[in-house]
Amino acid sequence: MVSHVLRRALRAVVTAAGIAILAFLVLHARSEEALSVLAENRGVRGEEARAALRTSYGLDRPVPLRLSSWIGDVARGGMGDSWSHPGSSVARVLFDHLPLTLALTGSGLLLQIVLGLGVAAVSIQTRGTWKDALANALALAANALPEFCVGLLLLWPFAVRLGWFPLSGVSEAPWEAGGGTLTTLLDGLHHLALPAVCLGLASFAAVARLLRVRWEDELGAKYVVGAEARGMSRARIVWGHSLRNAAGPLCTSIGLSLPGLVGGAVVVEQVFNWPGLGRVLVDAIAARDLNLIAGANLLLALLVTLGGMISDLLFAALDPRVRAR
Amino acid sequence: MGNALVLPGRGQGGRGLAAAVLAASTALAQACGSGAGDAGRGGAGAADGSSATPARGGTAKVGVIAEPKTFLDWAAETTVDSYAADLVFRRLARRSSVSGSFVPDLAESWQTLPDGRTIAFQLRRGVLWEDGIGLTASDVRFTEDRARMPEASISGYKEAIESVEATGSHQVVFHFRRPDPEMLAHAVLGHVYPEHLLGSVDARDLQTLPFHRRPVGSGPFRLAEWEPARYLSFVARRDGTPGERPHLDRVVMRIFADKTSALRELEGGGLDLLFKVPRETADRLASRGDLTIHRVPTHGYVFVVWNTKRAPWSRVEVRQALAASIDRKALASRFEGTETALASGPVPADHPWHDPAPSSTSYEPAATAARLTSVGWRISGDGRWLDEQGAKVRLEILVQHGNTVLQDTAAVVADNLRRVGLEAEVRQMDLTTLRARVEEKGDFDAALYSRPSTAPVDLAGCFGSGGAENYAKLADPDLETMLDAFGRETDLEKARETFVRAARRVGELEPWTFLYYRSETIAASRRLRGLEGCLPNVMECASEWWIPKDRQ
Repeated sequence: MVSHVLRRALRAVVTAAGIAILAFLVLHARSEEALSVLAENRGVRGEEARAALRTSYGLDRPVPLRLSSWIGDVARGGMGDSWSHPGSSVARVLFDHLPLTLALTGSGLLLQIVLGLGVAAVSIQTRGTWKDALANALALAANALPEFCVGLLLLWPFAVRLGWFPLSGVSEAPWEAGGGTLTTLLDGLHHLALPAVCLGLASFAAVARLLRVRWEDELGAKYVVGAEARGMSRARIVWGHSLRNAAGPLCTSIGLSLPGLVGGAVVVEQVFNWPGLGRVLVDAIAARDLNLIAGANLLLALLVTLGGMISDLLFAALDPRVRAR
Repeated sequence: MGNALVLPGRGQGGRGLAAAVLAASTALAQACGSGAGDAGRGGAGAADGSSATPARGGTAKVGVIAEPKTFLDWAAETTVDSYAADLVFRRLARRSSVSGSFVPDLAESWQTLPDGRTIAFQLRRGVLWEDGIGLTASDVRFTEDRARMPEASISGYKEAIESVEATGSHQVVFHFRRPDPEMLAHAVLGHVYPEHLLGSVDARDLQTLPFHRRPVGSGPFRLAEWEPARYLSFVARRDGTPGERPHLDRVVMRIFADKTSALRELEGGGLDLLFKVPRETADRLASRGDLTIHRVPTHGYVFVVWNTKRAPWSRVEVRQALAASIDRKALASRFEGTETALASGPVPADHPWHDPAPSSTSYEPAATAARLTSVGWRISGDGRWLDEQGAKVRLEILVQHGNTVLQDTAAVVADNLRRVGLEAEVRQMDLTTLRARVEEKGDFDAALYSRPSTAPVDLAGCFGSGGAENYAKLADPDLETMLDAFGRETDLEKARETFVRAARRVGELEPWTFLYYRSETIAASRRLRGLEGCLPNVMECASEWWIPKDRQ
C-alpha cells in the first residue's frame, strides 16, 4: 500500500511538473508581448528603456536558459522573482495567499459534500414524492447559477440588508491588537461563511445526483435484502452499509471536480474580496507577470493532481474490492 | 494655476499613472517663483462647522483598488503606489489647494536664479530617516539621478532637468535644459529616497530589492504591517520631522479587488476615504449625512485622436469639419455636470503660457456641410456623405473596453457625427490592443483617449514628428520648425512666444479634438477631517488628518 501511494504521488508530481513546464514555454513564447505590457504599465517608452526593462526582467536570455533557471529556482523553493510584486519571490507571494484559498476551497468542498449528501438522503427517503422532486429541482437551480450570481444573491440579503455577515474580507480590523485565538478563529469563520456557502451551493448538485443514483443501486442489492432478513435496522442499512458502498465512486467524482472548485474559487474570491490565489492569478495575468503565472500554474497543477490522488486513495480505503484490484 | 510644462525634449513622453499622480501637485495651484509660501499646517475647519481643534489619535481607513506594488517612484505603475509612498516618504515641496502655492516639505525655501534655468533649494535640517540617519542633499541628488534612468516610470517627467548637484549638506541645485516656467513643479515631483540604502544597488537588482516591501522613509508614517492583498497598516512616527507629528495614530490602506466591494465597505462604514468614485454613485452618496463628496477639477482631459496619415482624415479641412460637428459643451455638461469643463486645447487655462485663443474648433454643425463640400465631398440620396471618388465615408472610432465614461463619450461623439451625415461607428477593444493599433501600427481612423490629470503639457511629445505621444502621426513642417526653435531657446520670454505660436499651430491643424476636462471625485467619511488642504492629493497631507475624539 505504501509503495502504491508513493508511486501515485510521484506520478502526480511528474504530471504537474510536465504541465508547468509546458505552460512556461507557452508563456515565454510571447514574452515580447508581455514586455510591451510591462513597459506600458511603467509608462516608459523608447527602445533604450525597453531594452533596460528587458534586461532587468531577464527576457534578454534565450528561452531554454530561462527555463533551466526557473527549474533551478523551483528546486531551491523560490520559483523566481515576482515582477508584479517587486521585492518578493513567487513562492512567497503564492504561499502568502495559499492558506486562504485552501480554507475557502476546503470549506467549499466540505459544504459540497454535506449539501450533496443531505439532498441525496432526502431524495432517497422520499423517492417519487414531491419532496424528492423539489430537492432535485433546487439542487439543479443552484448548480445552474454561476458562482458570482450565487455570491451576489447571498451578499445582498445577509450582508447588506441584515448585516448578519461581513461585506468582504478575511477578518474584522485585524490591524487592531487584542482578541484571543478563539475570537480570531470565530471571526475568521464568520468571514468565511458566505464565500464557502457560495462555493458549495454552486457545485453540490452533481454530488447529490451521483450519490442518489449510486445509493439507490446499493439499496437494491442482494446484501441489503439479506441484512433486512437478518433484522438489521433500516437506518443502519441505509447509513452504515449502503452509503459506504455508494460513496466510493463519489470520491473519484469529487477529485475530478477539484479543478472546477479551484476555478470557482477564483470568481468567489473576486465577489467577496477574499485575498486568495485566484485574485493573485488574475492580477498576475493582467500584469503579465510570467514568473508568477508559471509558479501559480505549477502550484495549482500540483494541488489538483494530488487532490485527485487523495480521492482515489479514499475510494480504495472505502471499498476493499478496489484495494484488491 | 500651474501645470507641468515639458519643453520639447524629443525624448520619451513617459506616461504611467504613477508619474501622473506624482505630478498632481501641479494640478490646481499657482507656481511659486521663490520663497517658502505658507506652511499649510494645522487642522482644517470641520466640515460641519464644529470645533476646528485637531484631536490626537484614531485610525483612518483608506480604500484602494489594487495592491501597492512598491514605494519607489522609479518602479511605480499605479496611483495606489503613489498613495502608499505619500505616507512614508516626502517631497521637496507640495501644493496647497488652500493657498494655491507650493508649501515647504523637505525644502524650507527655494530661489529661482535669473537665468530662468536654475533653482536652488535649502533643505530642512533635522529630518531623519527611520533608521536614524539624517536626510541630506545627497539623497535628493541621488533620487533625481535615479529618476532619470530610461526605465524609470517617472523619467519622462524629469526630462527637462539637465543635472542636479548637492552644493552643501542641505543645499541642492537643479539645472534645467531650457527656461521653464514650471521648474518648481518638475523639481518637486516625486519623493526623496535614501542614498545610504539604495545608492549602491545596481539597476539590474532594483526589481528584487527588499526595500519595495520594507521601506525606510522620512515621512510622517512608517509601514508597520503588510498583509498581502488585504491591507497595509501605517503608524505615526514620533521621530520624523521635528515638531511635526501626525494627529492620527494610524492609517490603514484596505485593498479591494474591485470598486463595487470598496463602495459597499464605504457605505457600511468600513472606510473613511475612497478615490475615483463614479459620478452616478457620488450623486447618490452625496445625500447621505455621514459622507462628504469632494469633486475636484483636474487637468486630465478626454480627446479624439484623428489619424492624420489616413485619408480622408489626413486633410485638415475634414478634421476641422468633424471637430465642428461635435458638441463639446454638451459633452462637458453631460459627463462633468458643467460646461466650464470644456477643454479648449493642450494648455490649461491656468497655465502661465495659456493662449486665450481656443485650440479646438467651436461647435458649428451648420458649417460642416460647407467645409466638406469644399474638399469635394457630396451628400448622397440617403443623406450620407460621399468622398471625392463617390465612396461612402465611414469612420470607426476606437475606444477602450471597460472604461464606461470613454465608451459613453465615444457613443455620443459618434451620434453627433451621424447627425451631420457621417457613417460613424464605435469599436471597443482592450487597452493593449487599442494601443497597438493606434500607437504602433497606426491602423485606425479615430480613437478616443483620455490624458492623465497632470501629464505635462508637452507639445513636442504630443505633436512633434518624433514625439512618443504623437498618436495622430502629425508631421507639419511649420510646427516642426517652431518646436525646434522652442527647444533651443534660452530666453524665457522668447520661449513663451514661440510656445504660444506652436500651440496655435496645433489648434489650426486639429490632430486632436479636445473634449472636456475630467474631475476627481473623492468620498470621505465626515469623521475624517483635515482633507481640504491638498485636494485632490489628500494622501500628501495625511499628517494633517484628524478624527474628533468622540468619533475615534
